[in-house]
Amino acid sequence: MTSSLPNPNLSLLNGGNLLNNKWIDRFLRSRWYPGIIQWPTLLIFMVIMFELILGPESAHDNFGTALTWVLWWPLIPIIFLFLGRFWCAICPFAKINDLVQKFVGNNRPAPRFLKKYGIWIIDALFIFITWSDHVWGVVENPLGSGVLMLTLTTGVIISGAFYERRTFCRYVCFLGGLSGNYARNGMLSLRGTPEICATCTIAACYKGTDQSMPCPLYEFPKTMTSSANCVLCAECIKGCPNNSIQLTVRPPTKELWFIRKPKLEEAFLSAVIMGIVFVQNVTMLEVWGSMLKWLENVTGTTNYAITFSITFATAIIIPVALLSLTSWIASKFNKASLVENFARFGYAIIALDMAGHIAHNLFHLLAEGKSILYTGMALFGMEIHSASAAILGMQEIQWLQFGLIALGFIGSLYTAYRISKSNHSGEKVWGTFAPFAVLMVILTIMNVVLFTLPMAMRM
Amino acid sequence: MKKTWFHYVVMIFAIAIFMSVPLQGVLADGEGEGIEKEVNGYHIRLTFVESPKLGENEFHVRITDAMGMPVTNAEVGVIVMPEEKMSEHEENINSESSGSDGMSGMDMPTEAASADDMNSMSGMDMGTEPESNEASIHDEPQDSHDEEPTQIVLETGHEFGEYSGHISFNRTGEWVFNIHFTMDGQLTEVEFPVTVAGLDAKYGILAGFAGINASVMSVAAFMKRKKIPTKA
Repeated sequence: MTSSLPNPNLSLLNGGNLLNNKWIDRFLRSRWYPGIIQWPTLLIFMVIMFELILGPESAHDNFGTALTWVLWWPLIPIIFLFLGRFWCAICPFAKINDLVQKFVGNNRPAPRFLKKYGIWIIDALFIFITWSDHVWGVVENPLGSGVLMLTLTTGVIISGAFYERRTFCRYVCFLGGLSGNYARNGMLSLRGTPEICATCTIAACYKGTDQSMPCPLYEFPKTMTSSANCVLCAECIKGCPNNSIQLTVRPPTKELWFIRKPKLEEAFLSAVIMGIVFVQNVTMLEVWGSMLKWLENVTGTTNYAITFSITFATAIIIPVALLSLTSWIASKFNKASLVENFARFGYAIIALDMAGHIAHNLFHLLAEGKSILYTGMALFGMEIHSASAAILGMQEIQWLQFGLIALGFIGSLYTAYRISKSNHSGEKVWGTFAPFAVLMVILTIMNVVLFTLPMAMRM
Repeated sequence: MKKTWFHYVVMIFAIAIFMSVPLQGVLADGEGEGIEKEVNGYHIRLTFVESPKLGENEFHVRITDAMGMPVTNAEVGVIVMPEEKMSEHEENINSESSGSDGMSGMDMPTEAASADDMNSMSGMDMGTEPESNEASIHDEPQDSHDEEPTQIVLETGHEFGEYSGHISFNRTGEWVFNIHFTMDGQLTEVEFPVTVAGLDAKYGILAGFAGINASVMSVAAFMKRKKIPTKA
């Protein structure tokens, strides 16, 4: 998916280059960007860390927990949808990486095994952290959240101290993997202009210049076809001597329609995220206690690590197995292998993943949102008891959730169709699309059923 | 050789960090905050607002039934005593019961005894202690024999199924929270171990991470033979 020379007449919301707007252009080229957002974010991060580790131990009373899990975590997928991986440009961990690198960085190349297995490592870490959240307590335990943040900080410091650029963000960060997948679905796209880049021999965007850093995530806008690893740090915009970089708005899911080299591990991650959305929903349902009791009777153990692991594995296996089965059925029509279909059409689930993720966390944001205010006021000795933390009523939240799931379903369905259309022709298009359409209907119904059941609070 | 040494250092740090994650999880559960137990089909969770420390502490007890529904309107009491006192107390009960009915060696159901049984237990005197939701343990750290169990009646908390109380610890070490409540004529009793930390464990965690991070940066600074420009 390459871009041609920017047409100055195009509307900014219809594929026009946002850098043609002088305010956006000036802001992104400014030496204050992204620092002007990054430093305050780092400051807030330090307040959060202080609260998580040294503040109240009850999540209900902890300002750090409220900011992290009630505000930031629900907002992050929404940011990915509208601004791609912009969060990664202002992430406090990235700033810590840069600071460590500046003073003691050895700037070694990223290890080969990370380059080779990076996404699988991210997949494994994502699964492990979600599992450990339930078994050891992270979200509901401020100290657990603090320890997770400290562990990530240490990882970032090791990376910044020994390796070049943002090796941790590109190859290890579990949130980076999630955001990479979601950014493909996002509405912002940064690319080089092929006609201009074709004659360029200096690659300032990749290597950096006196005025700009090299791309922190090892991307090369000249050949970039995906937004998965573009954090919109604007270093390439500042460094390009030919003004080749374009920043455009595109319809959500558009990038997913034309993935040239689909990767099995990325498709696997999208199926895993769906499983994680299921497990997050299931364990917050009020019927979870009864389900756990049943599982304890069946397995003969009350060990939560065992019973939860069984639930967790089942929830992850279901979408992976369904996608595999659908890929196998589709292979009867399109003669592609199961693995090829899995890798190609796994990306179609991302829209539904994102909708499910946002819908789940919307509950926490809108049903517990005022807890941010209450816990913040408690820092100044103003205690509020017995007040509702809800911003919206349950009925309204549920309608919003259903609306989001409907949008996700349409996005996934259309993406599956476009993937089928861009890889096949004639009758094969519909023959391939039909099984994946059924898959999207099944996954949507599962999500809708989960969102109709009463859910427990996070705070 | 230098490269091997470098890889060795990186590997040691990586292992130390990944090892520390489950360790911290265990620490978090073992300090007494957010401990859960299942008894008689009830799910009981004891949570301290801040980790148990010397002086005033606020704690919450949340009770849910087998269906996960909060148990409201229960009269919830807590008996707090040092662990060693609890051991002596249990020994007394055992010796009294074995002396009176000769049933030594039998496993008496302690977690599902009836209210009448509990009231007859020597040393507990559940109905005679002054009832308050705030209590102080006035003991000399060295003389645990003077420590008497303190009984607290909890107040209803601000969430359904939640009960709150205060306790003031005057010494560090291991304590036992015996939580009991009566529902449908059946007394449910459960014990939670609580550690009152002398040195705040949280500062230990912070210091541990700070030490690892400082070491990493020191090694990196030491190994930085020459400055490689990050800008072309």
